[in-house]
Amino acid sequence: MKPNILFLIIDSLRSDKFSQKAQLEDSTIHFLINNGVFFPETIASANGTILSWSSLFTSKFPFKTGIRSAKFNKLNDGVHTCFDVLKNNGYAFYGYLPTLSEAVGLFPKFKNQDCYYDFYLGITNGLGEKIISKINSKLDYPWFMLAHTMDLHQPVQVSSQFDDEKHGENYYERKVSEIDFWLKKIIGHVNLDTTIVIVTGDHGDYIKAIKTKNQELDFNLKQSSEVLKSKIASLAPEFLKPVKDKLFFVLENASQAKKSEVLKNLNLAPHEMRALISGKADKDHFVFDELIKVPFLILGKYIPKSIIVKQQIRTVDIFPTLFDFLGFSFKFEIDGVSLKSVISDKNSKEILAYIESNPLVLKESNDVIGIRTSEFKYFRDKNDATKRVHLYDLNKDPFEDHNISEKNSHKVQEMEDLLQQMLKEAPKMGNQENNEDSEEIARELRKLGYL
Amino acid sequence: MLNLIFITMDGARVDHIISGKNYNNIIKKSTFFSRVIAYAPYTIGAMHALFSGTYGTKTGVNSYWSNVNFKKDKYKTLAKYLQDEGYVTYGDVINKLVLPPIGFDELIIHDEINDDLTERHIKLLDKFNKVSKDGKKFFLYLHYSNIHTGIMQEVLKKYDNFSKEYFENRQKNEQFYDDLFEEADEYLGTIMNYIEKLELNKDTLIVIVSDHGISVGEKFGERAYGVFCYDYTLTSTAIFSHQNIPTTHIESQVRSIDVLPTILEMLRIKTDTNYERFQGDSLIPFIEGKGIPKIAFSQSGNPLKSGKPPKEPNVWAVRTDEWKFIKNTHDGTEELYSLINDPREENNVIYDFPQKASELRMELDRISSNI
Repeated sequence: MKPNILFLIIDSLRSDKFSQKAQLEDSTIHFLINNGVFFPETIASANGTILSWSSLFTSKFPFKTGIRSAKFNKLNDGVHTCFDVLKNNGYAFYGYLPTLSEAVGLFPKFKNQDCYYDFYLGITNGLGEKIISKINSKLDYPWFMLAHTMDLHQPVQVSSQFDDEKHGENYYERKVSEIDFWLKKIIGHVNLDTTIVIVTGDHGDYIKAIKTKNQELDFNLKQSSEVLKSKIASLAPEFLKPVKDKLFFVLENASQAKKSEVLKNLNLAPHEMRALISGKADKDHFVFDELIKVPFLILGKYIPKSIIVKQQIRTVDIFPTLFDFLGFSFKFEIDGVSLKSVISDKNSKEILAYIESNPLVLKESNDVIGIRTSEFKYFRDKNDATKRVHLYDLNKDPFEDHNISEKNSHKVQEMEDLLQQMLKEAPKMGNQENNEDSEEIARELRKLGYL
Repeated sequence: MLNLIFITMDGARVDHIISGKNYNNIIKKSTFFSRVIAYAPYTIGAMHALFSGTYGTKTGVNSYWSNVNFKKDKYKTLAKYLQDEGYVTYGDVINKLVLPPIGFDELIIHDEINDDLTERHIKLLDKFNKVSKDGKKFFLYLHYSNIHTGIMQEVLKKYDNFSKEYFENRQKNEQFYDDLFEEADEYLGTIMNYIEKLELNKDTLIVIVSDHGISVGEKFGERAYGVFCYDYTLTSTAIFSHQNIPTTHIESQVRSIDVLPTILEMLRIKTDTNYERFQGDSLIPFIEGKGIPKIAFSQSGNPLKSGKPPKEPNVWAVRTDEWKFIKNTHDGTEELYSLINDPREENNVIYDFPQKASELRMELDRISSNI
């Protein structure tokens, strides 16, 4: 019998914080890892949801999918998804996704009417109950349920029950504790003898809080004010949209300046500084580990128990691995590989990870592309290999505080060659023309009142 | 050879056209097709099909988003035909997305909110009267957009496709549309009178089309157009006016893709074999009483709850004079309507007439697979 599949994506879930929670023996995450295979060194293809999804659900690198960002680009014709494979194997789809997912043309038709939700829903504030209720209802067999939950997406709101030091040092850790609590509830309704459960993240995030000897700083946005701001913004007349967008960037910049003033005398490490100073409107994008390293946990029917694989793997490998366990095959080309052999062979070959940053939607951003090995991280400007070049020695400098690119030109070249090797199959890097067309059309359609 | 003045009355409903005072004065002196089935119930899709005589499935323009995909090297447009014949070609349009620009010497965008279109278009008539007097042939395209403007301001921006307030006030919606149409009818009367005053009508073929209809609240889920494929938006009209063209009203179904071949035949311009053949056919046989109705194919893009039109069509339809078959690819449902018994398309009889459904489903597959 084919197993049912529960696929849970926790938006902005960092691997380090997931692993930290797993250290506690009474945590649900600890229990889940004991019952499955855990990959703490999983590299997402991008630091933003849309590009990360594009890669995860096609098992291809993002630049081969046609999806470039949230700017109305969608999956290219002829690009198959992992849902096609599941559909061919008789799976019925159920889903809970944020509304923006409708635009990318990536997802199958879900059987449940309530599959799209407003942006701020998470398993800790309603989605968990929906998932449980759906699992307990009469579902078509075999089912594949995809839930993308926004609990950790900025702004993070910790419920009063968990907003306490015993649940974590900062808002992020406390929210992970709250998620852990809800995972227990959900898993309690899943039969692991007949179901495969996957838990992963689409990308990581900066944690905008820090505790020093003398001071505690918390720059986490307050969700209530953010939701209110979004609602007010959406009610603004269309003709005010350009003003509204501009105002957003002005306010963000003002907020950044204020933060810089507070932080300048604190002698913080670069990774601490960049986390605290980061904002939604940042023009310069990066792909530091805190933004792209996510957990990948798989358990249930057919899956071995109590294995932690410390080798670097990628989110693009998740579906090939799942399908290998299920005995399903891809009928199209993919970039991901099955990790089944990696699970049993501790000395298996290094898997290179392609990484890129997700562009801003409302204005141009400085984006980067790069690759990561288990030892080095290399990234540079998306359009110019000589600009914004970064190289980090991950063994000596795990927090990526010291860019060593200038003194290691040979290594930079070696990594660039590896990157070029990956990119040679890219149809057209950046797909700029398509983006520009889409933006212009959107502008014209807005004038006509259609958007 | 005749000049061509082509007027698009954006969003003019057929039920209003047939009772419009000035419209009627024109219809009395023209060939009037009152059931021209649009390829798409929104201007971008509708006008690209009309200007190329070919469905968007072939030309690449099958959604609000796809005007950039128009295959100009494969499909020759009305403007390009006339430009190649030496016409001075000029268009005054609502927006750069609505027409394929190829073939226009000038394609100017008007400000639909602030411009007085009557005044603006009268100036253009003066300008092209001079062009004509200089011995040059011209093609003048005029887009009357004020019905759209009113709908945009008072419907599109105030309600969504599921606003109860809109659908519960049908009478108010109808009154609002009546007022918009009355202004449109006035515009058309003024323009036609001016054309006659300048005596341009003597050596000019005048074509007046509506590109699609507009909802006044008929079906919940569509507050204006471009969502479903029902007759209140798909039915457009075409008027051909010149002293040599018979006065007749043709009620039989024709297709918007037939308009281009008809104009070319009226202007005695041969089709260019360097381009793909039109899917449309000349309507001259209908004017001569020998026309054979053909199945019309349409596509629309239901935004569902996303708030923006999809990039690919997700509502497909075929229509005959008697039946309409609709396939909603976004949810896999199908609809069949007996248009004679149920012109408002209120009773889906897909399960009552499985053979008819099967026949039309095959037709839809046949047309849509001919990409």
